[in-house]
Amino acid sequence: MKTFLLHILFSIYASAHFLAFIPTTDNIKDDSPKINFDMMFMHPFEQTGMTMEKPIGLFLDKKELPLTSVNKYNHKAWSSSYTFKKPGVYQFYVKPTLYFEPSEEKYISHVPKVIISAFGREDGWDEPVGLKYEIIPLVKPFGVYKGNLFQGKVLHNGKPASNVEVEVELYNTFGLKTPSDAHITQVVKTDDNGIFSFVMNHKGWWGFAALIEEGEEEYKGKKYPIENGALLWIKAY
Amino acid sequence: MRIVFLSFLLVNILFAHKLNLFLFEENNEIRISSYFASGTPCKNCKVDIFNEKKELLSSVKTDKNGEYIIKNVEPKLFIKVEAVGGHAVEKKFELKNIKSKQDIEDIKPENSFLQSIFAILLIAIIFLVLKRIKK
Repeated sequence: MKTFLLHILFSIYASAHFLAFIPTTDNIKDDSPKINFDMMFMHPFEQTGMTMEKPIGLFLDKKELPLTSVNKYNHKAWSSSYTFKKPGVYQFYVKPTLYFEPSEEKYISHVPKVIISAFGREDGWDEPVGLKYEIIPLVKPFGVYKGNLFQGKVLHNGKPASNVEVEVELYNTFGLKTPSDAHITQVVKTDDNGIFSFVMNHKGWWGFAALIEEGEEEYKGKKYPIENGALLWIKAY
Repeated sequence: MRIVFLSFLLVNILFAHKLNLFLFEENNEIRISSYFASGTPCKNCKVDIFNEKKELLSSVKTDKNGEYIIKNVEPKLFIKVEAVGGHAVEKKFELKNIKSKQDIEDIKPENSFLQSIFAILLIAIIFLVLKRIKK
């Protein structure tokens, strides 16, 4: 019985919660200037969903985009769209509401970001949006092949954050299986300059979540820590 | 050796600077914006404007922002932008909300008619206000 419980507990920890923020593309072309976004709280590799309460908002710079409630993976999720009218590099991000995870006894606040090139412009992808916790790509994020080395810099209040764990998962729409639960979530750490590296060995969307525990929030009279996630979604071709 | 090195450098520059062409319509005009992937505008770049039959209509140059506005447009055009060094990009553009010359002429009298009525009303109001002040 003890082994069974431990196995269950391990399974919970083995798959990480991600706020998946998946656009239809990361490269906008003349013939299709409209993009759709899906926002889901889920386990991306296992493709299992969780309920996502309405986020504070989906933003482009400081402009808020409208959200629509949808059902994804049998749970409440959110969608939106945007039509590009001018060339540029656009950075979209989602500010979620705090989620309390009873099994881990902590609050979770993951802020995912996607960077999209519109009509051939490729400048400015390495500029921070100015989030409290943020990943800045060191590799052009909208032209990556599978097998490329991806590097990013984790910023906390605009400064490089060292020794931070970055969880990495593939948005596994391919039905891939892993040899063990430990293979589901890959983990790398940032160096003294806040830089991490990872080779995306499969095509598809990859989520990078730099996790920084900071702050507390009360739940039923008891205070719990907040896991703040700086997320970045990158597509490998 | 120097020639080989310079050639290699030139080839690298050519590949790293893809020329883009963005076309959009506004107020019955086609606005051309030409730029490199870095966002640098294609300044003083040659713009060739062709009709549907690929006959050259005019050859102009972009401004310092890499832009040019085509007025008196035809509904379907081919636009080619060429930068120094051989970068070129060509696109077909079809005006979706084009107004024919007749449409534009039809609109003008209506606008001027409305403007005349508004001006007469304004004069009348001023006249009435002045009359009241005088009393």
